Amino acid sequence: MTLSSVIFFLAVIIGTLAITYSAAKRTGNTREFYAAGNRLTGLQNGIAIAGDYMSAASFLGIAGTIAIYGFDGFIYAIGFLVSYLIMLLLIAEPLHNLGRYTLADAIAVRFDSRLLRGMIACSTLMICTMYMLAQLVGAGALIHHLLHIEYEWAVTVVGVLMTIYVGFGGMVATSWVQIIKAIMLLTGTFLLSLIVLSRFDWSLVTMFDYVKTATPLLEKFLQPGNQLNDPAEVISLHLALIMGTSCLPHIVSRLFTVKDAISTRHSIYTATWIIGAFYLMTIFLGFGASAFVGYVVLQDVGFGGNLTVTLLADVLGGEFLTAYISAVAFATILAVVTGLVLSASSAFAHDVYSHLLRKGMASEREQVLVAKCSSVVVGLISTTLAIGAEKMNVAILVGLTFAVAASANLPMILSTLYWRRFTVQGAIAGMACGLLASITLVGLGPMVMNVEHGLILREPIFSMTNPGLISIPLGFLGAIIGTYCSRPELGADVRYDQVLFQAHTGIRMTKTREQRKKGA
Amino acid sequence: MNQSPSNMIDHTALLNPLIQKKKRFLIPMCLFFLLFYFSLPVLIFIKPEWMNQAVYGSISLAWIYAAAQCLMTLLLSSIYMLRARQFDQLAAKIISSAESEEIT
Repeated sequence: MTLSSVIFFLAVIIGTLAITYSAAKRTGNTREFYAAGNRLTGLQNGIAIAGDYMSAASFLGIAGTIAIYGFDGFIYAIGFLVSYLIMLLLIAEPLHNLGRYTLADAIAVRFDSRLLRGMIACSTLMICTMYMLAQLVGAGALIHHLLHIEYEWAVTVVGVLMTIYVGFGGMVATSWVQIIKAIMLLTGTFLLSLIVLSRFDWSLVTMFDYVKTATPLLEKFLQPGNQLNDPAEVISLHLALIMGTSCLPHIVSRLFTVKDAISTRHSIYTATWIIGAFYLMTIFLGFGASAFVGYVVLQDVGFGGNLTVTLLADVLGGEFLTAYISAVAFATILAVVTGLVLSASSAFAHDVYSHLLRKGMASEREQVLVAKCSSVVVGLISTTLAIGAEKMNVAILVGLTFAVAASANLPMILSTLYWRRFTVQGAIAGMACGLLASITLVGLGPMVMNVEHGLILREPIFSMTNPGLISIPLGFLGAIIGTYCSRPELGADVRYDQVLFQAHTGIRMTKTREQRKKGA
Repeated sequence: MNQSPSNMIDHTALLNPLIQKKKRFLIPMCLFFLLFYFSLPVLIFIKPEWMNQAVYGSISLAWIYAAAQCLMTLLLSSIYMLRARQFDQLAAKIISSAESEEIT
């Protein structure tokens, strides 16, 4: 542990705690806690979305995958970016206009079903917990390696910090932690890219020519097929990437932090540019690592390539740059897990407690208290799970997260927004099908069942790692069958007209069951 | 805001042109980007010799095609941002007419 890395890590911790302190004075009501009072501008929210989205998996993982597998690593980056078109064109604005704090709020404008709200809350909690577990286990290993503190302590530090940010500062603190992280990440990546390019005389061609000879893969390094060579598997991965991203609950909950649909659109547009610029730069990081760190060293260190960027910083800039990049990685992890804690506790406190258990009768103070308490509980549970899961293969969790988001949430969201005949039974059937299909197929697939190192030591029953190709169509099929096997409720047509009106103009016309009760 | 069913019908009539306009714009956009996006993995599998052809130094068509996906995303989202202003104007008209009805 060097002095500069201690200083950088402390700076991140103190800075973010100071933000939380100033935000804590404001988080007295639910609108502040869940949606930062809808006060963020499109630009601020866009940077925060980018900060929420660019996880350690993208910063460290994709650069590492490019360094080891070449072209195939870049494919992931493209999938993560293109998915923002689905978000921008089809989902962001209508969801903002319909919802208040959570995805379930938006869907409830059309289908006022307690079962459906419960299911959406469950899938949100499931996605957040799995994704958070993956991030925490990765974070623990990374910090253990960088600062030489015990894995358990590393996870505990991250767990305590994320709980403090959310518990005291709610969405305001979360947003600013994510904004700062996004700026740190962009500057760090930009700096490293410039250094890498300067070593190649600022020429892309020289860089490509050099990496062609730098790895044992030789010219194959620049060609597709080093990691992904089964067509069905590749298409399946692409489907899960571009369909799953737009339905990740921690991204959806950021849509409600701005005042209107126009700002929502600007948020997503800003995020797209930042994320696009970032992913293009991962090429430089990956190529730089395979050229200067060396293929053999990268393979030896292990961690699935997760230390690539810090190793690169060490070779290019020495101790000081390494310390800065490590602090960037630390901030990256903190910002993502904070977003996840917030959206998990919103799903529990707002959807399960306020709507399902208290049926909308909880007072404002009670709701905020429950939201704060549930963030502590979420933080505690996930930290404990992460400490126990040190040796677990987190790739399973990440794969499952995207599969569930794409197969259970996307068919339901798209049909609710755009399909007139869609019924509540269809929504429930679609979610159930997508959820069951993705969990079962991952469970029967090679990530869980593997002769050498699986959770279950046997030949996989289902051969694909990514179940998207099967489970996403199954989610849609469930929604379609459920819809045609049920009759639309009385007045469903008028209700859908009202939903359309609200989704496209932002004028709130319908009231949920709880609001009607309260108003009466 | 409570709307009687008769008011609703008027609003729907106003809303329809907006929704038709959005549909005419969004459906071709989505079809185009999905086709372009999935053409990358498909081409890699059916025409690897095309994709591995060096275009500029050692930079092959596959890399250029992949980078073009990023540019496509930025371009299409920019086009949408411009086009959405027209949708906003239409929506503003509907909102003001709905509000004036509210007052009367």
